[in-house]
Amino acid sequence: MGGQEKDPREFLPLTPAVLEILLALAEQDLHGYAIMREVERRTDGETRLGPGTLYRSVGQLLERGWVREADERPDPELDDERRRYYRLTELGRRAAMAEVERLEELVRTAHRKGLVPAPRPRTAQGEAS
Amino acid sequence: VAPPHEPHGRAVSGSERLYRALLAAYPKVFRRAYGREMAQVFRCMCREEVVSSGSRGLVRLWVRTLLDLLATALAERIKQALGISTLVGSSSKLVGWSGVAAAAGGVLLIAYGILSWVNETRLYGEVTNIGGEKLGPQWALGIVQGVGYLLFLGGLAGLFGLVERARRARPTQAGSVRSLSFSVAWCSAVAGIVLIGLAAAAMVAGVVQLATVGVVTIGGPGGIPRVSFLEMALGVSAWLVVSGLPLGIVLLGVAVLEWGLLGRWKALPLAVGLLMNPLLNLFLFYLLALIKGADISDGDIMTVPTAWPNWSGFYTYVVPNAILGASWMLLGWVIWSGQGERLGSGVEEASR
Repeated sequence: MGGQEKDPREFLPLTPAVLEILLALAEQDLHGYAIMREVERRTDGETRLGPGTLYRSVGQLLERGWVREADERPDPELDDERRRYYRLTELGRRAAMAEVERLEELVRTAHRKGLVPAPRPRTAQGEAS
Repeated sequence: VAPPHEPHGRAVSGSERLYRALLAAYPKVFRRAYGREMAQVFRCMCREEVVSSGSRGLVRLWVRTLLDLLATALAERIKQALGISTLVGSSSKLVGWSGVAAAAGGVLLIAYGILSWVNETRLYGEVTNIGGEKLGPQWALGIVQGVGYLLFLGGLAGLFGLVERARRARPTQAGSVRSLSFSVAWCSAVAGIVLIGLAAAAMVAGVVQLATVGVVTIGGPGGIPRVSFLEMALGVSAWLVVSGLPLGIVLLGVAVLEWGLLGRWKALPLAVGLLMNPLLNLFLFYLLALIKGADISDGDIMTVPTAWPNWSGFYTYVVPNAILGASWMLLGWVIWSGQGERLGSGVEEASR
């Protein structure tokens, strides 16, 4: 479907949804709903992917060869067999790393220019300035 | 489907059914690939929201999901339209047919201008106060104009395809500015295609009246009348059609010029886009009206004809549509007659 592989750097910057999905798949294979939940959990509910955004992004990732359908299922006994699991490919991992590198460089530049955000208070009382 | 004994089971299963129906907004290929999974995910989301926040949560989820569906379905439809144009561009035969479509669109537009003129004269000649029943042919005229525009857009698909082919043949020369102008041309024209469909539907429904090419009647002697939200939305859509579509064609014309396509006719698409510009259109009309001494003192471009020949209507309907229709026919001929095929050798020479 994807044809010849392109250098992931050609696709930078990635959309937030695509990067979130790549991050969610970095450690384990997940199905669509689990990806959505993982993104929501990791961002404390700040990022919620709709089904359209999720599967549009998954479609792009499949086309680019950054993600593929996993052959085996984590636990076939406990799971709905109609669900498809997605796995990060080596190319997808490189794409995520390239994007993270780009973001790191951006943050370093921001710091050099004095744009350093104040640390966020962990608790609501007392610590907020 | 959620079992009925689950809390809010009916709301969840009803929501899922509705969501499945709404998936029709996506192109068939996308729906086949992901529709089932999307519905499954949405059902899980519904259950979770209902359990955690009750029916309020379900309403919030629906709002979020509808926005998501609208944005992504539109994006997929645009992607599909681009894919079709690329396909057209890859086939010389299809490029030729797209030229025929553009020329046929031009013929229909000219016919629309003449028929509108004759129709208006006939109506005003018979009665001074136009009754609703006398406006019968208006919808038929709307269809002639709408089909003409659609055929012309089919011609543009061939032109887009040619530009895309050139872009692929010379990837190293595709600078960011060129890519940007190309992308903007695509987006504007596709948005124009969608919006003109809406306007055509509205016109057929008799809600919005496109008076002539590039001019939309939204006001009256007493200022802009009170309109419903639907009428206002359709009015804005119609304005976007008459402004967005020409902008897309102008940008496409710039891309054709940059790539040196269509041989000596390379400036033609740009000229067509400029001709379609509503401001230029309006300027031309006023210029002609002034030359011919038509009464435009009340700021209204329409004058009531009292005798044949109705020259005011002639300059309103026939002249602009004939100019534009002729330009479409010329562009269609250029594409059909193989001028676009010179592109192949031109691109190869340039990339050497």
